[in-house]
Amino acid sequence: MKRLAVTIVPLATALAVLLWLVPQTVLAHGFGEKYDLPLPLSLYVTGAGLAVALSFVIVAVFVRRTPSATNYPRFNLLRLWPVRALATTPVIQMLRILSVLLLLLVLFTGALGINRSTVNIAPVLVWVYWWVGIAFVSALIGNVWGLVNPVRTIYEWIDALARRVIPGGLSFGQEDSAYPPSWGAWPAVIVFALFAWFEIAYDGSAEPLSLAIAVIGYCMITWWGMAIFGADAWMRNADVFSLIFGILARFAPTELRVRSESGETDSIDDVEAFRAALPERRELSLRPPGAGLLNSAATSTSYMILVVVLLSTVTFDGLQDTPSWARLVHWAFINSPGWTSTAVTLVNTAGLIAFAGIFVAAYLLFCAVMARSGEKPDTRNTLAAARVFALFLVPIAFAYHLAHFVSYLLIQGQVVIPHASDPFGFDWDLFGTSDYQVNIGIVNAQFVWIVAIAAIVTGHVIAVFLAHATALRHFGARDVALRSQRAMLILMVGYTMVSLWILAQPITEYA
Amino acid sequence: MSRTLAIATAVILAALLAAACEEREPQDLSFAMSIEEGELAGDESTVTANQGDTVTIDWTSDMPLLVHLHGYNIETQLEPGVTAQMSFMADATGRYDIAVHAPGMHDSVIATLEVRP
Repeated sequence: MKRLAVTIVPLATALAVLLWLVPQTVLAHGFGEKYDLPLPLSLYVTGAGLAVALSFVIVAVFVRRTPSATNYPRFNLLRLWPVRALATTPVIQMLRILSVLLLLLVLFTGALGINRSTVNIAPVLVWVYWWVGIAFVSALIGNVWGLVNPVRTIYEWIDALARRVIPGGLSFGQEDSAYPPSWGAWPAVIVFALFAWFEIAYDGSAEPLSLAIAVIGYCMITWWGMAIFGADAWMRNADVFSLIFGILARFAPTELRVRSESGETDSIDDVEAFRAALPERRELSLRPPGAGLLNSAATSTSYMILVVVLLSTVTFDGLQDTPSWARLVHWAFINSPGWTSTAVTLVNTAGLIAFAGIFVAAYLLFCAVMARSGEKPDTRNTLAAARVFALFLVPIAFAYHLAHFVSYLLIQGQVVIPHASDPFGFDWDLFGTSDYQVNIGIVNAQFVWIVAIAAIVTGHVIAVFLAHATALRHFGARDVALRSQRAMLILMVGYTMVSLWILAQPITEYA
Repeated sequence: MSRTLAIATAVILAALLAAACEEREPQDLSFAMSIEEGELAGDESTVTANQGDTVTIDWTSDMPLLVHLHGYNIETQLEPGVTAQMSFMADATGRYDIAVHAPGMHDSVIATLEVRP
């Protein structure tokens, strides 16, 4: 019975939260405007041309020889004493405490502060620092979220306290249920769909109170999952943000490796194993970006869907700011007297769902073409190919995400300076910074354009390279692999062009 | 392959730098914009300037309104029959909305400022 209570209470809370969010119709200012100039035509053409040209360079390299996929240069950073000093348990514990405090700050300011995104610190912390910031850190540095995830830390603290009162702590002494293999990453897909809707279609996503409620809802689901299946199993299989930041971190230039007693590699990029391992078994190494994927095993269908839906959401997020979409939203706006905000939400919801559908369909179609090159039953299978290649589109999406958000991070990130002095919006001035004016001149358009083109071309090259390297392994024979990659190459060039096209559009924030 | 990549990157960066070094003399630009019933009169809704230019916008409106240039965060109160001037140095590149706020009306974007590098 106790177990049942553990199960039902958080789930019911999470459901109540979601139902409470839906009927709210507040026309909120979307948080943090973007001030980017559209990419000039010359750079648009340069980027597109380079992406195509370099694709052929990579193909030519693969035609001549097979780059070694299993061995890549690594450098164990723990050999350097400053890194060793920083990677100790007390430092990590302090970072965990800091991230718990930030989560509590979001919850308290969101729930108790003035409910306006322009005066409350919660929106900037969640949307700029956490969602955009942690994504950048994950892909460009490494899996930091896995090490400092505050939702998990709070669970572990409460579990440790509960063990003093209730034998067995939050799982009431019952063995963790085995995580059902058939669930795969589906819980993450479902929560991601809700998250994407909240972020992109729901017009109160920048509202501090809605944010606090959504965060609590997510915590409830996560704590429930960890209580039933154990923290490691839930984080590794089902937790949406651990999976997403983990996907990005697989492209990062650092890796978390665990060695067994005999020195064999036990795991790479498995943050749960790394957390659990003895310090002397751990290795924190530099590696070439993307190299972590050269040996990756095929993923599950649910994981593949999570990746493709993530890609579609990233792209739709950008497309939403283009004049074409703004015209559609404007049309909905003027044709819905009395229920305008619901109409706008519906149009954006439809766009989000349609984009996810189009992306999944397009990806599977290209995988079907790719699989036709296969010469064995297992390589002729479309779904098998789809599971193997999904991750390789991620660098293209991330490069676009970086180009789209770099100035936003640098400009809107400054909003935290005035808000730090007055987090609730109560007219406090704790540090004397509450009058700080955001410096919009901190990034020049030229810098943003160079970053954008460099990121997009690099992302494209990494994607094409990894896909070719993996095709050699998946299809066996080199000629078959090269033939199969024609379809993938067209898909990747197309996807890169879509990214460039969106960046060349003038951003329109309002209908 | 890495060499090809390096060369390609160097070529782009050089081209971009060359473009960046093209110096222009800063200019004084004037625009006149008129608002009728909360909507912009006339077709040209984009104010374009180059970085470093001094921009002056003369606003007229047939009703009391607050014009807000986002980003630069300049607000100008308009009254019927009076020309109000909004003047600033376009030192930050980007694309900024110009919105009008009036009591009992939806905030709406009526124009855009583009400052090119």
